[in-house]
Amino acid sequence: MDFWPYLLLASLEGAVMAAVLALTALGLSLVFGVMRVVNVAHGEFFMLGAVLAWWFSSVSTQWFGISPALAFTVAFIMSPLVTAAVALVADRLVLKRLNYQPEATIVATIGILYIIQQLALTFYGPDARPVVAPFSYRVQLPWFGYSGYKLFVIAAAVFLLGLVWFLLSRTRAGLLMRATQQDYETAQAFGIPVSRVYAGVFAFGAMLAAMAAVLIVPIQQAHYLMGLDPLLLSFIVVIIGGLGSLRGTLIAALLIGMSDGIISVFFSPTLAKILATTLVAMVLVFRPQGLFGDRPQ
Amino acid sequence: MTLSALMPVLDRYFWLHIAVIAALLSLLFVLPEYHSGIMARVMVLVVYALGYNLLFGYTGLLSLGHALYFSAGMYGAGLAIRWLDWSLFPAFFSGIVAATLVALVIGSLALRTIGVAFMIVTMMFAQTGYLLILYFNEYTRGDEGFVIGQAARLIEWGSITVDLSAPDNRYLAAWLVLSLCLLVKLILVRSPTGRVWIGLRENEERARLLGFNPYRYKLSAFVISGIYAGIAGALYAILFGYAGATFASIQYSILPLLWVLLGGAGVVLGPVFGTVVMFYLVDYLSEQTSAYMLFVGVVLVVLVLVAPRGILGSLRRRLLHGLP
Amino acid sequence: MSLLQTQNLSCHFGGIKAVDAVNFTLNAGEIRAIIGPNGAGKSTFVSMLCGRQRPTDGRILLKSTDITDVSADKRTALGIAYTFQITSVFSQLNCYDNVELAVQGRLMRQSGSRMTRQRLREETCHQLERVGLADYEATLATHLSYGHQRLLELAMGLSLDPEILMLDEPTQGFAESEIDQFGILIKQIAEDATVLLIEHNMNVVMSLADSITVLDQGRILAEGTPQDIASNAAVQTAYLGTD
Repeated sequence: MDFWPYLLLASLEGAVMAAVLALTALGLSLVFGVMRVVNVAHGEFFMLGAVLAWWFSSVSTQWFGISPALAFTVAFIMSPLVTAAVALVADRLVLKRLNYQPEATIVATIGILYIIQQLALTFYGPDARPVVAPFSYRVQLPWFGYSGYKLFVIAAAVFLLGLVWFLLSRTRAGLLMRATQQDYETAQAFGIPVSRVYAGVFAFGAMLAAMAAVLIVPIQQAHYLMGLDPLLLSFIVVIIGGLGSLRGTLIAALLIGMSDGIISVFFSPTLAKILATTLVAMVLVFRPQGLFGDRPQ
Repeated sequence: MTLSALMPVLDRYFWLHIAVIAALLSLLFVLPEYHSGIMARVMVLVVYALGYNLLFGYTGLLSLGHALYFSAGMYGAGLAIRWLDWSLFPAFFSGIVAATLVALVIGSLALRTIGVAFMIVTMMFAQTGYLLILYFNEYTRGDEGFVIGQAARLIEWGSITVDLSAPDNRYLAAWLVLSLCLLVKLILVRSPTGRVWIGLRENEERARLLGFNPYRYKLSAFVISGIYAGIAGALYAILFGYAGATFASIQYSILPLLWVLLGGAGVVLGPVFGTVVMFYLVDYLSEQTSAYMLFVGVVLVVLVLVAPRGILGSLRRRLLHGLP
Repeated sequence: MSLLQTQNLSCHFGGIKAVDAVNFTLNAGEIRAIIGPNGAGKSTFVSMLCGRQRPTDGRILLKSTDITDVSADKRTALGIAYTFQITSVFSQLNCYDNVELAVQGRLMRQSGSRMTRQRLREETCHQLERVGLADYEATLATHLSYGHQRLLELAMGLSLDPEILMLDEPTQGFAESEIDQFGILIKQIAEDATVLLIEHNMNVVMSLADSITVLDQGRILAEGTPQDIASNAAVQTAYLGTD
C-alpha cells in the first residue's frame, strides 16, 4: 500500500481511538471537575462495561435467541446502567464517608480498582472474549475495505458527546452540576443537594466509561485487565486538556487518540506511550492548567 | 548542625527498636526454612517501605511512583552485573547511585507541583520508566526479566567467600541492611531535618514562615526515600538473583503505600509490621484463591475508612505517646 | 532610621485594588499599628511585607536592600517574623515541639551558633516561659484554648528573635485580662524589636502604639501619633462611614 492510503487507514484507526477515548476521558474529567476526585478506578468501570456487555449480549443471544444487533442494543443499554449502579454504591459506601478528601479518595479508589478487577477475574475468568458486532458491513474504499462498524463507533461517540453537551448546558441536571463545580459552598447555601449531585456525577462518569467500552468490545475483546490502558490514556487526556475543562478534554482526546493511533501504526506502541506519559508529567510540572485550559484564577 | 545532634537519643524507644531488630535476628534460628525464606524477602521489602514512610508518613507527600526508584536500584545493580560483569559491591552501589540520581531528577521536577498533581506526576514518570524497561527489551528482557547467576552473588574477602544465594546468608544480609536502614531512619526522623519534615507535613505555610525552605526539605525527603527504595531494589536483585519489569509496574508503587498505611504512617516501625502482616496474609490467601488482590483492595478501602492511622498509629494514640 | 520601606506597593486582584501604591516607612525600634476598616487592605499589605503575597507592583526595601523578590522563608532569615491572623500552629504537635522548631530554625541560620540538644531545650523552655505556656509543654496545640494558641504562635514568632515582628490581629478572641498581659509582653518585646501591629481593638492600639498608620480602600489615609489620629476628622468619617 502507498503512503497516503496507509496514512488514511492510520487516521481512521486514530479516529476510532479518539472517539472512545473522548467518552472515557469525559467521564473522568466530569468527576474531577465537579467533585475534585481523582478516580483511579475509572479504568475498571470501563472494564466492567466491557465485561457486562459480553455477558448481556451472550445471555440474550443464547437464552432468548435474538439477533446480534438486538443483543448489542441490550448490552448497550444495560451494561452502562449496571456500571453506573456499581459506581453509585461505591460513592455512597466509600467516597461519601471520606468526605471526598483528595488523598483518602485516591487510596480508596485504588482499593476499589483492585476489588472490581479481582471480582471480574473470579466471575468472568482470565480469558479475553469478543462481543459480536451488531452488523458486519464493510465500506469499500478505493484502496482498502474498512469496517463499517468502526465508522459507526465514531458516529455513535460523536452523537453521545453531543448528548452530554446538551445535558450539561441545556438541562436542569446540567445546571446543578455546573453550579456545584463553580462553587461548592454557595451551591449548598442555595439549597442544591450537593451530596446527590456528587453521587449522580460519579455514576454518570462511570456510565460514560462503560458506554465507551461497549462500543469498543466488538473491536477489542473484553478482558479483566483491560482497564489500565484507558485509565492512563484518560489521565493523559484530562491533564493535557486542563484539569476540569471539558472543552480541553475533547480537544486533547482528539489529539492524543489520533496521534496514538498514527504513531502506533508507524512506530512502536510502547514508544507512543513513553512519549505520552512523559509529555503529561512535563505538562503538569510546567503548565498545570493544561495545554488548552485557561489560567486558574 | 553538629555531630552530637545526629547521635541517637538513647531513650526507651531507642531500645524498643533495638529489641525489634534483635527479634528479627532470632527468627532465623526459630523459623523453619520456608518461613525464613519468606522473611528474607519481606525484610528487603520493609527497607522499601521504610523509605516510603519517610516521604509519605513524615513529610506528607503521597507518591504513586516509587517503583521507579526501586527498579532503578534493581536494574542499576542487575544490568551492571549482567552486561558489565561487575562484582557484588560495585553493582550494589551502582544500583543505589542510579536510584539516587533518578530520584533527584524526578523529585526536583515533581516537587514543583502539589497535591493531586504531585501524585499523578510521580505516577506518570514511573510509568515512563516501566515502559522504558519494556522498550529496551534487548537489554532488560522486559516482562520476562533476567536471572543473575550465583557467581555474581558471592562476597569474597581474601580466602573467605560468602555465598549470598544460600538461605541463611541471604537472611543475615537482608537483616543487616534492614537494621542499618531502620536505625538511620530513627535518627533521621528525630534529627533537626526530620522535625522540619514533620513540620511541613503538619503545616507547610507555618514552616515556611519559620524560615525553612519547603522545596529543599521536601527534596531531601524525596531523595532519601528514593535511596531507600534503591537499596531495597539492588538488594533484591542480588539476594534473589532476578530483575524483572513487574517490579517497575504501578502495582509495586502502590504496595509500599499499602504496607505503610496498614502498619502506621509516620511511625518508624509501622512499615515493619505492615509489610509482615500484609505479606503473610497475601501469601496465605494466594494459596486459597487466585483473586487475592481482592483482599488487598478491601484492606485499602477499610483502612482509609476505619483506621487511617494503621496498626502502630492507633497504638501510639492509646499507649505509646511520643513513639517516633 | 527607616528599617522597612515600601515604594508604590500595590496588589490588585482582578479589578480590585486591595493595596494601591502605598509608600510606607517603618522606623527601627517603634511600635507601629496599622488600623483601618474591614477590607481596607491591611492583611494583604502585611502579607506582602512578609512574602506570603506577591505584589503586582512596587518595591519593598529592608534597610535599603530590595527584598521584593525574596521568598518568605528567606525574609524570615533576614529578621522578619509574622504571626497569622487565623491562628496557624502545628496543631497535631505539642507546644514544646511547636516552639522547638522555631528555635531550631533560628539556631540553624545563626552562623557560629552551635546547636546542641541542650541549647535547643533551654531556649525552647525559655520562650515557653516568656509567654506563660511552660505548663503546657506536652499539650497538643489543638487542645489549647484559643487565647493560648495565639500565645503559642507569638512564642514561635519570638523564638525567631526577629528584628521586625508583624502581628496580624493578635488580640482577636482574647479575654480582657489576657489583653492586659499581652500589652505588657508587647512592651517587653519592643525593647529589642520593631513591632508592626494590625489591630482592631482601639484601646490596645492607643495604649501600645508609638505611631499609627490608617489604611482605607488600599491607600494610606492618615499617619501620626495616637493623639493625631484620634483627632483626625478624615479617619473618623472613614470609620463611621463604613464600620
